[in-house]
Amino acid sequence: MDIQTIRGLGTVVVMVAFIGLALWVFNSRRKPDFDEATLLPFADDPEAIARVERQQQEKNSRRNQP
Amino acid sequence: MQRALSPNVYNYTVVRQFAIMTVVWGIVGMGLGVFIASQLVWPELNFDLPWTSFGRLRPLHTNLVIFAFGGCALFGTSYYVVQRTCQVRLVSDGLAAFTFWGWQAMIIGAIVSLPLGYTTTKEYAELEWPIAILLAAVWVAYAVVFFGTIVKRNTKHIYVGNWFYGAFIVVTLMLHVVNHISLPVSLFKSYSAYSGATDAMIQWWYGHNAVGFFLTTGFLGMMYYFVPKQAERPIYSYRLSIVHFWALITLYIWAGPHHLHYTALPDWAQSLGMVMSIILLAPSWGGMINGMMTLSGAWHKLRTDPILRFLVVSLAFYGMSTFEGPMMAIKTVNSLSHYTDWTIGHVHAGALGWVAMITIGATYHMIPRLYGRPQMHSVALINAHFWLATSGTVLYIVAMWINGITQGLMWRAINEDGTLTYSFVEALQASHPGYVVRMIGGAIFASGMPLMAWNVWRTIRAADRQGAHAAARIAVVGAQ
Repeated sequence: MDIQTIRGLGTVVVMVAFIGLALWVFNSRRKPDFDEATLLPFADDPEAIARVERQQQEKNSRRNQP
Repeated sequence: MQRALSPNVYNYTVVRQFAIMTVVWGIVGMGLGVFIASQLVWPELNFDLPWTSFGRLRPLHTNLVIFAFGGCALFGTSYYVVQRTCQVRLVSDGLAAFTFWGWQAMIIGAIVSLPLGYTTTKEYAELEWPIAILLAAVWVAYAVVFFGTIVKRNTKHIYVGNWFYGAFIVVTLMLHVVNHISLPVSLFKSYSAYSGATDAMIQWWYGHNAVGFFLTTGFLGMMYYFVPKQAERPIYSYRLSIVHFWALITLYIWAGPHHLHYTALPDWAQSLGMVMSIILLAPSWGGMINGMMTLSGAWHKLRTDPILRFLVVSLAFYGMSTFEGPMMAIKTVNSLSHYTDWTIGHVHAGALGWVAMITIGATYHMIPRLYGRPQMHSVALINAHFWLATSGTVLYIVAMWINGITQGLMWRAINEDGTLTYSFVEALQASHPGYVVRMIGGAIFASGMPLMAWNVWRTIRAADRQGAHAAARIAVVGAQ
């Protein structure tokens, strides 16, 4: 195969990978996992996790009000 | 007793060692920077000695601030973050101790060998082969400790900060080994395995990714932990952080050729480097926005918390220098900016504004927690340090912008008959006021570091053994 063709294919592979990544990341099925992971900096700090979770509950309850 | 408890406590010993050495090497490295900046104002300060000449001390300055100050900060914070977000002790205390002592030995090797004139002449890779091998050995041990700890983690997920630290560790090893392949001819002299334009390209592939992976990706790992933790708000978007990660590491590796515009490097490679550098703006700003927006709805915290101010202003400087960088990578802009002080200004916008300020913020966050203290000895001093750091950085980069554009315009000015309008010395004389302002700005920045050292020392002195030991206990609550 011509080297230029391989280079072109490389670009296509990276583009497909990026689109695939975007689809994977923005799929709503990932949400529970990400919600868990995002709390990891606080998870081993009893006081911090309590405060952060309280904040998030307040934010969610505000969002649910009409 | 400590040993019996060790599975239930974090290994803070190595983190404390690295955190303290971050401050020590910060003072030494930045102090040396102020000294060589003074040499550019008063050339007599080279004392007519080879060992104290600018050409030998400048690489020592870069090695000390990048590898000693920045390196210790990255080791220390990565060990802290990986343990706390994986809720597990480091996989090996012995290997972790080896990385600390090995790294310090490497730095001592630099302090001795560079002033003596032993150098590979490759920028940011000056250390001759015996020291380079030591660095590689320490780095392999670092990778084992870091990834080993991730493997035995007690959490389901690998926090995004660890992804950034992990990429920084893997890519730095790759860059260091490939760029340092050489043929030793004596104990302190080696010749690169590459030659000509290939050697230049490998060197700047290394050099730019030392910026991209050592000074950016590693410190972004720091950002993803310490900004949310200090603000007590989860990162703005976890999804964005994943896209940020993959986009950044895919693109950065291609940007190196912009250091070789208008050289013997093939034109297509220069253009590729330029295009990739411009595209790089997107993930860089994605990351900056992700960090900044974490504060959304809690901006008032900046008013009372100087540590958070350090972290957020570092992101502002990061955003500024990652805009400036792609712009300078455009060939037409580069034809003006290259080889001028603008480049030095750009580097320091990143090094002082981003790398040093996020390191300082993270260290102020970590020190009390490492020693079981509620907070730093003096919050007012942190605030003073913040203003010294910010005003010093601004003075420094403004002086270098003015110098850089002046030099670029003077060097390219030609008379009607095609001769140069200005001699090199005329441009140098025009730069003198800028050098004075740069030295003052650098000195203001560096003067914050002794304040930090005193503050750290008082905080540690107030700590007791029991409190420090209790602070290291692994408390697992809430989320897995």
